[in-house]
Amino acid sequence: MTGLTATKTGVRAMLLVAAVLMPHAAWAQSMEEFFDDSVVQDIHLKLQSNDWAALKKNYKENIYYGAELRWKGVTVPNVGIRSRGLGSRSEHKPGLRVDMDRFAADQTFLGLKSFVLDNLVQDPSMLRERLSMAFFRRLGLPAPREAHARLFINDAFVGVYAVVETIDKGFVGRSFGGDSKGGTENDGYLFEYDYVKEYRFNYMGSNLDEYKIFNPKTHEKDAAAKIWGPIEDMIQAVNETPDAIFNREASDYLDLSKFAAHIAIENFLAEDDGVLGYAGMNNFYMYRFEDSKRSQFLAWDKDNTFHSVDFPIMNRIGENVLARRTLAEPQYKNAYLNTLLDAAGSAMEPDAEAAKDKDDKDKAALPGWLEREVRRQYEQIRTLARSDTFKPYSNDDFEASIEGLLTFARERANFVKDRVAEERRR
Amino acid sequence: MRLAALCACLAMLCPRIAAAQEFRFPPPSLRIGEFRADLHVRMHFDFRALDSDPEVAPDEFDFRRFRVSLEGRIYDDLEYEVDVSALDKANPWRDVYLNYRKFRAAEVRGGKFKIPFGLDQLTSEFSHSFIERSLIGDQIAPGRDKGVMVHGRGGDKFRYLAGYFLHDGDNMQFLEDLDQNEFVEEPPVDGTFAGRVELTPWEQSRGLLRRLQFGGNFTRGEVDEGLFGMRGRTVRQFTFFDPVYVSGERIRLGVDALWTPGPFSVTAEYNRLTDQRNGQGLGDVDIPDVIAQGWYIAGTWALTGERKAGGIEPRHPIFQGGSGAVELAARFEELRFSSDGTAGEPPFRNPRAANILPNRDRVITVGGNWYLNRFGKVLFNAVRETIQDPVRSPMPEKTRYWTGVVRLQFVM
Repeated sequence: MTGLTATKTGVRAMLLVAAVLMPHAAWAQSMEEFFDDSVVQDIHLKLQSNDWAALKKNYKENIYYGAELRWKGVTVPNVGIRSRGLGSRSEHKPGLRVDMDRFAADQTFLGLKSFVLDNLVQDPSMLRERLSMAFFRRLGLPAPREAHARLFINDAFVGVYAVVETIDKGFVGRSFGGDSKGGTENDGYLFEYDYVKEYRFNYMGSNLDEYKIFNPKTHEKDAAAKIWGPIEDMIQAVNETPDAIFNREASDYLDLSKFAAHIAIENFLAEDDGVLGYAGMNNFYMYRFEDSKRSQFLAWDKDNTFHSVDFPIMNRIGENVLARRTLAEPQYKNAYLNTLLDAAGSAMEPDAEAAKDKDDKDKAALPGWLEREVRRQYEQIRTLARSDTFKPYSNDDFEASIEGLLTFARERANFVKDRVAEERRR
Repeated sequence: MRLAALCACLAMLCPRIAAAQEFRFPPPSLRIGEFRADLHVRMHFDFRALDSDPEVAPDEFDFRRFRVSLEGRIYDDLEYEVDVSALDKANPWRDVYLNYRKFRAAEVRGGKFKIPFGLDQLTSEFSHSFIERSLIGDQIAPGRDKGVMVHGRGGDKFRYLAGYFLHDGDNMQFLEDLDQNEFVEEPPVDGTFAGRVELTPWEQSRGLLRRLQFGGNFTRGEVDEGLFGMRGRTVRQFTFFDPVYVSGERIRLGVDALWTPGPFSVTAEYNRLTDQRNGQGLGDVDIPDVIAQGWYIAGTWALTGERKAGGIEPRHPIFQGGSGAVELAARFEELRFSSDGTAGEPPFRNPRAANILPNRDRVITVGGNWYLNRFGKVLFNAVRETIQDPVRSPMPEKTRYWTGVVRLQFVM
């Protein structure tokens, strides 16, 4: 009798816990499902028909238009959409930012306040962005989740896009977990780097206006000294601290190991337009932690990766003050080279099932993770990509670009390993 | 160029001035037979301050208006007026019209002038008891346009005005919105019918109600498809309600009352504008009309005892041994935007939302007017505005604020 009562109580407790958890579980699962890259997502936007034409005509402007978002039976009324991008802005295939709370405070979609629909017009393979972000996450650095999608405007197919998780407070909370007070680490200062000039982390003096290239995405209304003061301090420390105390001083502002890892992954991926970009720094966010001076770089917009197999592993390290001084410290140079080797190993990692019972030589002959991922994503979008008449390149360009990625996936790791060995011998 | 043309006209008249039967000053007035020309010059100088962040609205001195007008008769039955704003380079011509008045029951006016709608709008800025018009008088009432109008009186108790105008008046600020709309390149209302009636039922009586007037107003037009809904502006012209997409019929309705017993005046007015939104919803569906509506009630009291009807003229002007006339004035008003129904949806700020999240500006104005003499007047107004939606307040997260304004007026 006692046992039966205990069982009933236990069942009730389990049901109660399940009932409490169920909405959260469904919510979490749905957000995961939205960024599930094992399938191509179908995203529908319903607009007034003139608005789509107006958005395309005004593609250089950030004018918001109202739309109804529909995805797998979930409908969000009156979201705001606008054209987005820098070099990727397109009249024929506009990249879009979708904001849930543009016209209604606190409206969310699966817990998201916004997401990006990347038009993929700067990458004939349509894979670089998604592959790169997956690679960052694979190596332990936070990066937006992405999946390919078919976009429908008023039920008409308008092209293959990538759904990109926005870097915002929600992303920061999901990436960094708990803070020191037992809450979620998401109330620090988040910045998007706005490319306006060739800049390589040089100190620009005490005028905080110079540092507004770091565009605040949280605490925007705070005093300028609170927003940009610590950035000025950080850049001054990085530039002016004597070598002997550089590590100690700069580490107050940045986790230099993580920074070294970030640029190592960018250089492994042959990123030509990132932190060490050809025209200065570009395509990153920076998050300054709550109640702290310390910041971390976050990867963004990686459609210029996979530049070439022989992309130098120390590319432009000497041109960027932060990179040069960080890697002048032996421990971070070592961390940088180790991350390159980790990246090479990760890219070449064979499928565990296929590698079972094989010797090292046979394992080495198996396709690595990067090659398998290129093939998987290619198979996923091939038919759709070829039918996308809005893309600004031909199907031959698409196929050639995929071939280039496969070559990169097969050969880059060994190139990097050889160069790391050379670098260590110096 | 236009000023040059005006000067040329004056130069042509100069030789005739010498032969004039009568020349008066001030204002300069020319009379030759039945021909008559009165020259008027009117100016407003404003100083205004807002209790806010100076980055949002710095204190400012403003040479607000400088008008030069010529009005009179070409012959006994044909009147004219040409009113030019010397400060408005883009749109200098205010009133430019001819009025044929052979038949008092049916005079005909053609040219550019105020569409007959709204007591407040139809009162001259230089005769107003407040520095700014009411929100509805400034925004819902259409203002000036080119058109033709029949107007007349039926005895002492009834007056009517009815006309057809090319567009929808100059108060809607369509041009400001053209860059956001790719489909319309000129004012989006082709033709507006407008009418107003005024009743003074006790005009013949000797009692207090003799000076009581009622008015009713109506306009109808068709608005092209686009972002051409009415923009809601605060007293200081900040936008608190952005235009929404409209298409279809635009209707204005209004009623007003004016009572001027002795040194007092009481005015009240209610106006409403509805725009259809045919096919303007997401997926091109029809959505509920957008409604702008508002009201005011205002009162004045000439402490020095002058009669209000017809405008205050000081009994004891300054420079003639007196100290002018002093008047107190107060007004309470509201302008509100919403959709005509919810369509079963929650409210949004989206300009295509079926259910528009309402917003409202409620204003209290108190002030005093010092009439120096028939030419000069100093007005003091303190204005408190309350915006309903803090997100759309001109001052972030602040829904209530004060504005102080001082105006010096010169009229000749």
